[in-house]
Amino acid sequence: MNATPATADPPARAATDPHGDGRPILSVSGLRKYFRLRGGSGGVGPAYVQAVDGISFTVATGETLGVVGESGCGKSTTARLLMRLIEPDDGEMLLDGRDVGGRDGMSLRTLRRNVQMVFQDSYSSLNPRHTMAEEVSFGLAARGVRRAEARRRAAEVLEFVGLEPAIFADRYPHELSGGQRQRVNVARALALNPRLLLLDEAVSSLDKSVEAQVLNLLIEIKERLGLTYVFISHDLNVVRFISDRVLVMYLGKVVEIGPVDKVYGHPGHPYTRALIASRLSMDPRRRIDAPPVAGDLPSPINPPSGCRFRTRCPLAEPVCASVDPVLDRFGAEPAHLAACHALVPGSGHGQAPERGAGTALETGGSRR
Amino acid sequence: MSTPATYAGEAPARTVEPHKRIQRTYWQAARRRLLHDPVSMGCLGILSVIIAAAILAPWITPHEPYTSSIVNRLKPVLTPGFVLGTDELGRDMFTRLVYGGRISLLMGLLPILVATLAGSILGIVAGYFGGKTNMVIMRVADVFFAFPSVLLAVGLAGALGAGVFNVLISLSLVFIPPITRVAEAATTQIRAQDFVEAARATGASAPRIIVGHVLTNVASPILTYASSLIGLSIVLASGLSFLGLGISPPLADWGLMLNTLRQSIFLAPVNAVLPGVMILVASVCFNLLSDGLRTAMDVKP
Repeated sequence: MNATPATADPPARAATDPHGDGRPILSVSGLRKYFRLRGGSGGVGPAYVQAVDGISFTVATGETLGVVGESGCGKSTTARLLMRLIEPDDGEMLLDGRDVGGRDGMSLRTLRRNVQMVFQDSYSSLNPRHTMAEEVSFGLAARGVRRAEARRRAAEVLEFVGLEPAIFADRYPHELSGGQRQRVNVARALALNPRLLLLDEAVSSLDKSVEAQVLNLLIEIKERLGLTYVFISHDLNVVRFISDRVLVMYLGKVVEIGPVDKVYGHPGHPYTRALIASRLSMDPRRRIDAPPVAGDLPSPINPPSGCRFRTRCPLAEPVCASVDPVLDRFGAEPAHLAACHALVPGSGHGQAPERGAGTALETGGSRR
Repeated sequence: MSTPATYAGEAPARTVEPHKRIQRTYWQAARRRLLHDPVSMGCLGILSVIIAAAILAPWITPHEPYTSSIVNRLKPVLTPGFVLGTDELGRDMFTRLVYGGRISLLMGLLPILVATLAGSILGIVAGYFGGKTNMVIMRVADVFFAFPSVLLAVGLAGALGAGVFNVLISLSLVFIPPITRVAEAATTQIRAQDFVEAARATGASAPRIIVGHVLTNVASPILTYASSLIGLSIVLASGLSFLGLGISPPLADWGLMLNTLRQSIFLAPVNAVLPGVMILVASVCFNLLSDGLRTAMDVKP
């Protein structure tokens, strides 16, 4: 976990000081995407799905940032926004301190040379009509690399992900297993020599033994090529295994971010605590009977006011409905932030710690 | 997670040598499969004979197609000198069928070719870009859909006037909307797949993605549908001729021959049916060929 110093600058600082501590390769602030719904919600005016609502984070060079959250919390939308496959409504994104897509910022072409993505569904992410060599070399050919050269590179990358080119280069996707397809997916992303890889549920659809193989492959690739990962998954154990830092999303917002051992060991936000508690244990005596979080994810079309988790939160109080909590440091660890009123002294929450005193969550610390 | 677990099942790192297997693209593989399909090849053979005969008409026909002879009216099939008999004006049926094939095949193939090109472009653009582009293109296509295809062809041909060229234009226009719709539906489906997103993520331009990813996947439904329209186009063209909006006598296509011989069906039923047989054979062959094409272009087992 200590490959790189874990950093989580507050958004304002990240935006103005991209080359601060930890040299973030990517820093995002206020990223927002609302999807307009057809027909509206029955009320007045159009309705929007608030898929990603103003999230901010940084990714340090060489680290792995895990992104966790329930289905529908905006994880995949975030990945697509970072890749600019969909245009954000608002927010700033700096890659190596350069604004992406801005007037005099980095072009999308440059962005996509540096950042690549591995998709979740290994079936729909490979063209059924393309051989593996065609699929992997497509991006290179699109960049003007000669066909023979692109194919040579494709063979090289296939070899790199553990697929013998002589056997696999001319195969079609339906001739491959799930794990092999996902390797091709990784190879396709690597073919373009990116520095940052977005892995959107890259191992989620694989069975456990294959998942472990691909995870090991990803770790090896990262070490050999010096990559930076943003690893999106709903699997808490996988995220813990691979990540240096973890970002927890809930309904389009970041609720907690911090070093992996801190988030898993001393979760701050009630949602994170519930998530951690919901993990299945290998020990049958520590079986979980009651779900730690009750109910379903509220609709992102009409999210709850204030704190979005308050409808399911055991600590919810009136202040949670009126004031939207901001990500803030709450413990001794400066890089560990959470967005919860119960952690912030003077927030008006009943369980909020005294100013300068310990918090309700045994992790000491104060606000500034 | 500080150190990765054992790296099971991985090929050991070694120098990469470029592989030397025969590399087939999707199109080469599809062509190979088509060439190994006996039904498709049989149909292709029959169609080749018909097309070759149409092209070589002046050299292979024993009689003049337009000189009539009252004494030789409605000679039965296998009459010496007239292999397939004669029509109601005493013209050699074989000669007329070969010459009629020229126009019928032209009417069958050319409008479909034009409509496939135009319809595919419109449909793929509408499906790939979606949104307003899609709405404009598809709503215009819907306007054409409001009319039955025969009525639309009659209307267009009527407005443009008679003549081979005008029939070709009106038939092309009739077939563009349905092909557009098939292309749009197929493209919309492909557009939603992750591999298109992945291709976009590599920085490939829209035209390149359309050629590299969309076309390979939508070509099969479009070509299958378009080739199934060839028979319809031949029949529609003969209908126009019958109404006096297509070609006019003494020129003939199979449809017009069928119509003029209709009155003689009780006197010389075999003669009267022959142009219909030609339409049937050509249509069935085109349809079977399109079927074979679809199978050949479908990579999945």
